[in-house]
Amino acid sequence: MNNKKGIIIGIVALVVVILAGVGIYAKFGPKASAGSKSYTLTVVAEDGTETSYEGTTDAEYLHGLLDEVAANEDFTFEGSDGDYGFYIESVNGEVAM
Amino acid sequence: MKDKASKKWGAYEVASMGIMLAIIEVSKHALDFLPNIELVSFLFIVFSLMFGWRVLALTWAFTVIEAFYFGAGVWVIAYAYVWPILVIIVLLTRKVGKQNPWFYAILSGAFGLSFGFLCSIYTLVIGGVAQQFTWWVAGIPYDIVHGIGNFFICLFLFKPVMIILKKVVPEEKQHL
Repeated sequence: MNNKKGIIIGIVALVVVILAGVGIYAKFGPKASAGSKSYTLTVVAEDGTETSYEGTTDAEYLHGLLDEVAANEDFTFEGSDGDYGFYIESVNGEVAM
Repeated sequence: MKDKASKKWGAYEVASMGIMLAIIEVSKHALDFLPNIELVSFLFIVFSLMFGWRVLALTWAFTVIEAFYFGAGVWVIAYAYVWPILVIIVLLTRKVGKQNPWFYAILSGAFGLSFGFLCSIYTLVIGGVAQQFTWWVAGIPYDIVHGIGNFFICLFLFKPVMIILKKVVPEEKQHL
């Protein structure tokens, strides 16, 4: 009986810790914010030349910003979606090393 | 009955450690595609129960092999103490656990839930409490998956694997 009681207490404790973890993550976890942000995007080519793009954006994440810059400027990028998000493979035709 | 000579590292002990290391490595990489779902915790638990304190050496051998495979990084510091902590807890609580699958499932689940926190301890030295806290909090979703995965893996596999180990390992070599 004591064994069973201990097991139940253990499982309840695990559930409580999981819920506490969810709460802590919700309160203190990383957050992106939409809103007017200014940016400077600098692309350094293999030969050392630098191309800068400046502006403001309401994009929450970098991918959204890159899409905007690609739509409005002479800028291209390629990549693939993975388990951890979008993985950038090339910018302005140059492959990332 | 425990073999008194088992305190020494004989051919059997060396060979069995090698086989256990291979099993852990293969099972880990077989599940690499599933983030934080792993058999490593479960295997260290059952191996610790079966072979005793020797398994501490196995945890460090595992860390070395992982460093060769993935390349050494700061994560090696965490691995060097996190897995031994699991082995030590298993061995210190074996009289309480009494080979009860539920007990070890809860232990494994708790270890999985606390994995991120344990790994973040070394960041205290690097960047203080602020870095440790942000590093740990950012990984909480993965810790939850890790804990739940560990719980069910251990719950379902503990009994059958222990039965097999008891058949395969000579009785005088068992530390149960």
